Amino acid sequence: MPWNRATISPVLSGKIKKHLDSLPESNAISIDIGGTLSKVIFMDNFVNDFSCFDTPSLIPYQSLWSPELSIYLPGIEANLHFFCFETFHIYDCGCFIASTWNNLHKNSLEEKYLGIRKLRATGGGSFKHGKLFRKKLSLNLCCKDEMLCTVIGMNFLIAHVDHEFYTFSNLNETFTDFSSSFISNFSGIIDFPQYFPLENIEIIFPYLLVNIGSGVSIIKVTGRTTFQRVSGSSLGGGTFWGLCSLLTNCKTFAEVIELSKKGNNHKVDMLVGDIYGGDYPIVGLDANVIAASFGKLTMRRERSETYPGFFKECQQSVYGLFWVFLNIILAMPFVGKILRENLILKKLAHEGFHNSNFKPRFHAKDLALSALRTISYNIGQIAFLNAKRFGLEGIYFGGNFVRKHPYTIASISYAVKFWSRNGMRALFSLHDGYLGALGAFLDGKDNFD
Amino acid sequence: PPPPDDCILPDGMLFGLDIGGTLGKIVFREPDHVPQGAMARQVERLREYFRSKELTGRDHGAEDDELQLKSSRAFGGTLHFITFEARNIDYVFEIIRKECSASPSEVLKWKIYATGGGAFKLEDRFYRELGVHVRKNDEMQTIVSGVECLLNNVEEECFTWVPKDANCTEWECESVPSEPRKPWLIVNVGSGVSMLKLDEQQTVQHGKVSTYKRVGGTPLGGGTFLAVGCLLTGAKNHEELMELSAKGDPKAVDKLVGDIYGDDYKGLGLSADTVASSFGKLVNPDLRESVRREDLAASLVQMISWNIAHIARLVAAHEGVKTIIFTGSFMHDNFASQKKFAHAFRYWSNGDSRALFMRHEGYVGAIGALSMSTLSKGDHTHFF
Repeated sequence: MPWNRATISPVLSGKIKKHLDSLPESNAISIDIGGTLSKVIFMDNFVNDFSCFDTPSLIPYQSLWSPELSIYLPGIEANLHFFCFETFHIYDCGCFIASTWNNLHKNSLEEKYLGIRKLRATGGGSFKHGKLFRKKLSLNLCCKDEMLCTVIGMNFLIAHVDHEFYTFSNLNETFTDFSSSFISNFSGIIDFPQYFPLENIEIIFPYLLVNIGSGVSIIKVTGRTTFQRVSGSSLGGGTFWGLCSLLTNCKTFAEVIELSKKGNNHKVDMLVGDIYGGDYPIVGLDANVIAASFGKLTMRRERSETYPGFFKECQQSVYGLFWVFLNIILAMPFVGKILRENLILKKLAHEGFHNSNFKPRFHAKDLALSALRTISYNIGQIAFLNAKRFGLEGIYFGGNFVRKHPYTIASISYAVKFWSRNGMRALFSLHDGYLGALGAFLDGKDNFD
Repeated sequence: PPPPDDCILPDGMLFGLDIGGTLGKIVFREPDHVPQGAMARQVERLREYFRSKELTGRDHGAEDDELQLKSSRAFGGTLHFITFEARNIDYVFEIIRKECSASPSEVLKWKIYATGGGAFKLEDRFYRELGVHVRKNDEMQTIVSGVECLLNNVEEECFTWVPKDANCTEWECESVPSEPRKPWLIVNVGSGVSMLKLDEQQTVQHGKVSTYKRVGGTPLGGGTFLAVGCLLTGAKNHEELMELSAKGDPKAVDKLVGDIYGDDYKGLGLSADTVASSFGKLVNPDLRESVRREDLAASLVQMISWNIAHIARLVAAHEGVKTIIFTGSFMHDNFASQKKFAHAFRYWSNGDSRALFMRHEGYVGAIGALSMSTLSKGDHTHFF
């Protein structure tokens, strides 16, 4: 099955392979153990037989393989494959690597692979779990600095991988429309700028690299291997996921994202229009700009003056009575306990319970979307402020938070556009979650001559 | 008798009214030496209303007694500070309605200076339902005027926290004796956050003139804290949330560098205690079942406060401002956050810039609206 994703020059592939073969660590695996997710890159040497990685064998290890991300390396006839595990199940991940070790090194079996098994690793977890890997799985993690690997990975993608980066180009003036048509039309909106493989990557420098993982790291990249971590934020993917796990009943990050696609955050956020009754023109704030995220919770609901509104209110009063009845039953000692154990009622109760002091009119999907926009806007704003600080125009976003989700991309892009008054660009990459793993795979090197 | 010459406000019954997204603030100027009669009785009734619990929906009355400025020369009377929840605005209308029927002639002499979004939203309603003409003022303008007015006229209004020892483990509150040098960055943390840069220019015609500009803001403010906090913990109001947070430990729900690395991240100088991801530990499904409300509240207040401080610092650095003044009701009695900010700004700037706080932080808008009553008398404030 040919991988038709991306290509790099055969000469370069050859140089990389030669360098990696000369190292004591595996030439086919690298791992980036982050706070929430562990990213693994496998290189296969035989194009057609990758059956050990098909879905049934992955399930026990609770992993995710994204075949559409695989990168073909011509000249050496190999592919890079990208896998993701939860760091919570890091031991399972290690077992998976151990079980595939011999398979992966079949064509390059030397003494160094039979004896002590070493592999390049990065991320905080590579330090924390080093002992576990060594003692329980006989795998030695050779730790490389996380920031260096992220930068190397990003520079490699910029210079050598085609059709990697995209921007969000259809932002109208007051980008506040998150209707369902936005989602269905989204594929037409992502714009792949014409990125040709750069022989001279220096023209990109300096740029700002914003890596959104559990938390956010902001790195100013000034050269192929010169960079500085200039800032960070603790409101990242972990915050979004943690918050939504309490506000909704979603079990995975992907579920929350799906839920948010149906949401309308105007029902949850306090807008300038809610405070002013219209625009606030003196400071240039449109009525739809968010003044306080989640703020509608504390606002009084305006009484409807029209008949359809009144009918809806009657409807909601009936639902309200039903909620009260349900909550009373669920609060009862024996009957309630039995009913609470039942998954469906637990879910319903969870959504309604905590809101008893403020009228329960917030749906989980609206809360999820509001949380997503809040975190995304905040990251976009902090990214802008740092880019401004150093006079940078290009902001590249990495990390596993974006995942090509339309609302995330739109929110971050809009924040950057809003604050920079169109002066800066937000660029996203398809392999954003794998920058560290890629950098580690490449031994943290930029030059293979 | 007329107010003394250095009084900055006109005479009569004055009300500064700031209706924001979450809270409404009233500053009521009770004139000194009110003659016996209708006016005195009205003052008594008003003070009763402001002691009621209905305005706030809480266990205590609406007036902040400890903030009262008795018989102030500069203000020509006693200033009463009243806070109520914005959704209880109908009670305010009730009060005015009662007074309109009790002594309509006195109500006609009232001067109400309003600001905040509610001033614009409710202006019509004031006129339609009560026949009262409310004088609107721009919110940003009144914040700026209010800060200047308070710092100029109230002793010990402005304060900061300084470390008692070299290790910065113990802090004490210190008044800022004189007006700090401009430019200032005023960070108003209300439902949302607005950041205003206040500067001074020397002009030919008017001498020293203050100019201001909105240079930043964020929607993650007090409104978010209240809303998310109440959703997650079931608390009913801001005080309850703050009480919960005082008993909680954010480390129980935040993912720290130490949790990811097992130790410090020595390469970057990040200690193991640094928060890498707020709420990050909730990725673990077992923790979600057993998480404590107190820990959630503590993490939330820390997360929102630090984010505001972070953005304020970046904006201040960009605008070249070294004095950052925090206003808005979110900061009220929030000493833990204040100390952290004071420490953070000293640390980030090597002692160069300072974080300052105000005693009447929630009322700057309302005071500013009052001070706009005598624009011809006081300094000119121009929008930049």
